Amino acid sequence: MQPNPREESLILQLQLIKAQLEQLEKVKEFLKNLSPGRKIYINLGEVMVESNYLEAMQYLEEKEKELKALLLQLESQISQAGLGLNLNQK
Amino acid sequence: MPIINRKLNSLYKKKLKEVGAMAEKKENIRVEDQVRALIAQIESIRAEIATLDAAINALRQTVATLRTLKRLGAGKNVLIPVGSIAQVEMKIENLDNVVVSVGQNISAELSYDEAIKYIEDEIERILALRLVLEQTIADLYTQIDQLIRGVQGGEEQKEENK
Repeated sequence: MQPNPREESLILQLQLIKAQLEQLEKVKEFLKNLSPGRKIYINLGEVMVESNYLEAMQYLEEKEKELKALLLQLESQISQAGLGLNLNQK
Repeated sequence: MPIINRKLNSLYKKKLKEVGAMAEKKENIRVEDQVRALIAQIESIRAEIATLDAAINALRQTVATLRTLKRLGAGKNVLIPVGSIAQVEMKIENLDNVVVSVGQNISAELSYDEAIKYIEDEIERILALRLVLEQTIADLYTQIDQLIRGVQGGEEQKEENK
């Protein structure tokens, strides 16, 4: 059975969030391997603020929490829609 | 869209009309719908490839700019854009370090060589993804071909049996 447009939209949002979480892990790994003393910046839109490893990791971990919360919410909505999809599918 | 792809697409659309003309049976109408859906998927993937091409071009331009700036040397004046219509003159101190965006709103300072390598690796990653999408398009065309041949084969069989 084909999902309707609303369900397709939920699935797409789920995939996007999973992709963002994957990218977030890669960025954390990148920072862990960055040579000491290298400057780090956080992009706040119009302005880039100089930061440091700890602040940047904290920023990323907060983002990760928000994304995981959103992921749980979407998974719950998809389950309620009764799609019965394999949510581990990429 | 490259000429060869436009020709292939118009060839398949012509075949689709032929299938449509033969679509007396429900089965043929179903095949027509499947072929349309596959063509729509192909066009969607082509749009994705166009986006990737734009990203690759932008990254290549970045590498070229960095190399030129390095060659011009420290102490050179450059014009930095401020908004969309204004520029401000600034002096390059040195190009030993480059700040590169690494995703998730984080940028990091890398040495010039590390930055070039990082960007070139990113280009390779996108090219690999592009190749996968092109292969997907080829597979979809094969599916369309099989569907159309299946319908044509069915019609030929019907003619032989008369």
